Amino acid sequence: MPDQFDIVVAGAGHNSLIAAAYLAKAGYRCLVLESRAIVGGGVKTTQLTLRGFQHDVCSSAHVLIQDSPIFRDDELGLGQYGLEYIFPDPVVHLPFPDGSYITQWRDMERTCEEFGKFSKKDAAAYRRMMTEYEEMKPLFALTSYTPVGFGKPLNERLAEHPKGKIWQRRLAMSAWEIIRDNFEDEHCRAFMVWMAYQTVEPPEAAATGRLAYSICAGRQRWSWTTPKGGSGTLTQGLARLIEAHGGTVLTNKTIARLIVENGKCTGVECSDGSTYRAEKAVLSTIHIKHLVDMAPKEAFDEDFLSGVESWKAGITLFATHYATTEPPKFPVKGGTISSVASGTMATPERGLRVSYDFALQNVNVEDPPLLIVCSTVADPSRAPAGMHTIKIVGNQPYELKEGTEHWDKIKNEVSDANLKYLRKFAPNLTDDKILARIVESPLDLERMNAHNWHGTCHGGAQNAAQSGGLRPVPGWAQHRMPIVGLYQTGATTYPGGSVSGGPGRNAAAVMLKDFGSSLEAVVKSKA
Amino acid sequence: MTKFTRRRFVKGAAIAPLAVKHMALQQVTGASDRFDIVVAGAGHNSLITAAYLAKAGYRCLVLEGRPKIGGGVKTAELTLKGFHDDCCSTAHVFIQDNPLIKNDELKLGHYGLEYIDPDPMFHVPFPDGSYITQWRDVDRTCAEFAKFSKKDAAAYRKMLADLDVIRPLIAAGTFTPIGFGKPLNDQLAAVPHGKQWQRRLAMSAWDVIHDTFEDDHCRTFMLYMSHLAAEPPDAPVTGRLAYGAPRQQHSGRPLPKGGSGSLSEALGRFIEAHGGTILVNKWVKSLIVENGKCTGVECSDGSAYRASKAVVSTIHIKHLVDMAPKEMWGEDFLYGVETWQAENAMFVTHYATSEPPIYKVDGGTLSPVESGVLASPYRALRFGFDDTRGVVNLDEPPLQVICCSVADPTRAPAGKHTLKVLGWQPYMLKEGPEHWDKIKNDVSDANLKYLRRFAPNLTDDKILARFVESPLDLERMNPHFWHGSAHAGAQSAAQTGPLRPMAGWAQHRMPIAGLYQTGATTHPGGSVTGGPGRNAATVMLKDFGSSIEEVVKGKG
Repeated sequence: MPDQFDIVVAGAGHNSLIAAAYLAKAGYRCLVLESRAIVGGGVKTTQLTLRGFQHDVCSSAHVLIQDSPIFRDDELGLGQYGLEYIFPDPVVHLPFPDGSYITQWRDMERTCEEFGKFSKKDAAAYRRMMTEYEEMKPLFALTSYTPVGFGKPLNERLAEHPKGKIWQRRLAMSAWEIIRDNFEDEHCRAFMVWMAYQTVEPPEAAATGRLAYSICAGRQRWSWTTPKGGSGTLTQGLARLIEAHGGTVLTNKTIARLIVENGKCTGVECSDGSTYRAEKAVLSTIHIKHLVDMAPKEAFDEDFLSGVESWKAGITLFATHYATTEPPKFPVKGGTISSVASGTMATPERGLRVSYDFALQNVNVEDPPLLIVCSTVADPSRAPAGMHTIKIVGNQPYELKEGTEHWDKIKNEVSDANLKYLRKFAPNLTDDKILARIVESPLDLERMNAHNWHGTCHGGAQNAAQSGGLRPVPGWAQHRMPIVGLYQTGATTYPGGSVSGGPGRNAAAVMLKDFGSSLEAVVKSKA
Repeated sequence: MTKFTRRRFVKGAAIAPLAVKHMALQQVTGASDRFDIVVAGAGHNSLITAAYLAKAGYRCLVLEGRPKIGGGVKTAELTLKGFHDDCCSTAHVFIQDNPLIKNDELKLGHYGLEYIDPDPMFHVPFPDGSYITQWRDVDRTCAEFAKFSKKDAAAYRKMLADLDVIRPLIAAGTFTPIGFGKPLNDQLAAVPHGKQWQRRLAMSAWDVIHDTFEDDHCRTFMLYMSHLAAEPPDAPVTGRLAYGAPRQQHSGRPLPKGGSGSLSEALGRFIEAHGGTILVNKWVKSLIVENGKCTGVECSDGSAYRASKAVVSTIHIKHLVDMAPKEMWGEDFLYGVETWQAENAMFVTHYATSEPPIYKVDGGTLSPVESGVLASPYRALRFGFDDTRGVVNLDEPPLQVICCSVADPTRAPAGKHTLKVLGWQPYMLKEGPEHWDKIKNDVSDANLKYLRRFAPNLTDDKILARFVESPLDLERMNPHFWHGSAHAGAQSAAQTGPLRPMAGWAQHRMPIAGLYQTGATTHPGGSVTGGPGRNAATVMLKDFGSSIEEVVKGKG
């Protein structure tokens, strides 16, 4: 292992690994330090329950990133490092309490027929909305994969676009308003609300209008795209690419503090006492709530500290992983269906209740909206022959009236309640089909990964106050932190959480520019 | 002056049939008997626009559908003779920062406008018997917070100081047409700690208040004040509303002597004194459009009025688009109108009483002009949820209680009082809006019953008469209160700034040449700000080759 590095990367999530990959490709000597035994952060696959059962610890679907230049233009050639995607069909199945259901298929017309069962008008609305969004996607993708301030702001681009005025209104509306006004049937509305909720922004919140289109359209276009072998195959591939380009990846290295000399960040110190110096820059994917404790307060600007203080977690997740002998089997016309992804949303109104319960710090297990992921349906390699991995995800608040530690007392009951509710729709999941489970409360999610601050898996709420030029803090949205030589990536930076690779590629673009090069130049060069 | 106006009235009426004929022939007659500006609707904003234009020397005709001008800024005898009730607005808070009043640009005092500055401003009693009273004096108000938390009293003081950083910027942004000045966000980037305000303004009022105050009484009071514009306080981008109480600490909550309508009446007199004409009982039915240009309006009585320069509309955009052929508006504007969302509507009961509400306070009682009840911070988080579901929630209903006669005895017979009890309920009920006619009296009773927990003196024998207005009634009373929206529609992220009324048309210029829009559907939106009125005048005068600054400087 070389003893001198240009770049030291603090934390190995998919974004910081992507940034390191571009920098390594550019010829910079990169050292990546990860506190856990395996790299990946929220994009990781391990045996959480039993030997041979490969569970995605957090993310499963890799939809957004399919429209990134990273894959669209194959900028990193990750196929050579073991990354291969599966495009399951059906995509998503949503059963309703009255026994009816909507299944999303890869074939748009087939999906429209599912809406048509309830309303011809809604089927037409679905086709129209998905088509309208596909038209705009290049513009949205362009802004997501351009650092804040490096190109025209989205609003200006829209002002110049023939359909732009309409989208300026839509983006500022709530997803619920758009769904309610475009769909007449409650089943169709419930399906669209469930879809809009998948990045856990409350659908009734202002400025979530894009979510009424984007998540659903992404899955209609790319399916519930998942890497063969597990979500973590992406981060494993990135680590191999970095090492193949002279980089070093060290695990079990927890960052204790930043080394700041003469106002410049020149390296990091780990909890085991080891220190690592960076000649050019330190790149952090440490959550901003912890980052500000890793250097003297005065090293950070007062406005930056205020922005970190006002940072909100938003809606958080409650997850249970199961090892089973069967996938969920949902009764459908003429048999049953098992989909890689399925969900429950009893009514559209149930979706509008979640943020209210969060404000009250209520655990609400009445008709809980759920996401059920059974990747083994599409990727048998993740479990022993004939066996399955199932993940059941709900939304529950991290903060409880009784204090967040109360989660340790109630988490098993909450997990049981979720399973009990799922059994109304997938009665086959009886106790004898379940070999093992591991329950992750919002508190456990934070314990598992310090970046899941207060249980958030997206760095924090992706609301109006924490998006675009305000993420993570107004004035510091360009990945350059208040301390010279320190850069920030990961879900706390633009464009935010989810497996988009945007924060990683954008951070690399800013750093390479600051180093007198450019991301475009690096991508063009053979390496 | 009135005589002169009458003459213009007759003249205006006389040419009407001719005008219709000419319209039919698609001809243009000599301009001599025409007006420069025809104003469709007489709300406080369109009257302000007309006032500046009249001062500039343009011949203005203002047409109002009702027998009385004023729209939402009107005072009338709603219950009994001699009881002057404010039909909609009461306190004139934000307009105090409008150059119209701040710099006395139109000398409305000469036309009968006089403000009363009540103290206390607001009283909020809590279910546990405690209360917070907001006084004009800062220290006295802070002492009210300190009863519950010294930290919260200091927090309130800090909010006042923080607000001073951007109060001028907010005022400038409010009283400057969209695109005429630097956007607020750019200005914030340039001032000390403006970055903190960029975050705050994008947060929800609830987040700001929850983080700033530790005691639930203090949070409740602040949330109450944040909700007076009827935006759900948990909605993103309502952070500015968290500063509602500090803002009025500077401005007070002034009342026009004689009633809210005194402002509209004074504006009416100003317009007439400057050669303008005001006709009431004139419902504008359609816009006259010739060769793609709006050249006048036609009324439901068949009369038509031509404008040689421009038509100003304060007709709600939901109705405006029906007053000219659809193809004149363009797909984008129509989309903006189609997606326009109503606000959490008001439910109002006007009472004539023999006593004001009397609240118990330390060492006696208090009868303020304005008071309000909100049981807990969490009750305020129900508004959005109940509204989307069309549910009438009468469980501890948050209320605003207004008794102007306490500070302005001229509004009621000696010793008597006008009392307005106002709540927030959805217009669109699960059973349909017509259901309001069935339930409105029960809802009104429930509100009064809850108020009596705090003001037990308001027994039936003190109530001489009442007048109930459901969200549906509000719309019937004034079509601009579309779906019960007293602010014309939600002032949400999607319907503010350059998106109000629609992206691309936020500068008061409508898709039809010669047609301008003002009123609450335009920037800066609803409430008695006069902003939409003065901003529209600014844009029109610029288009006419002049400027509002010149007009203000000018004599007359």
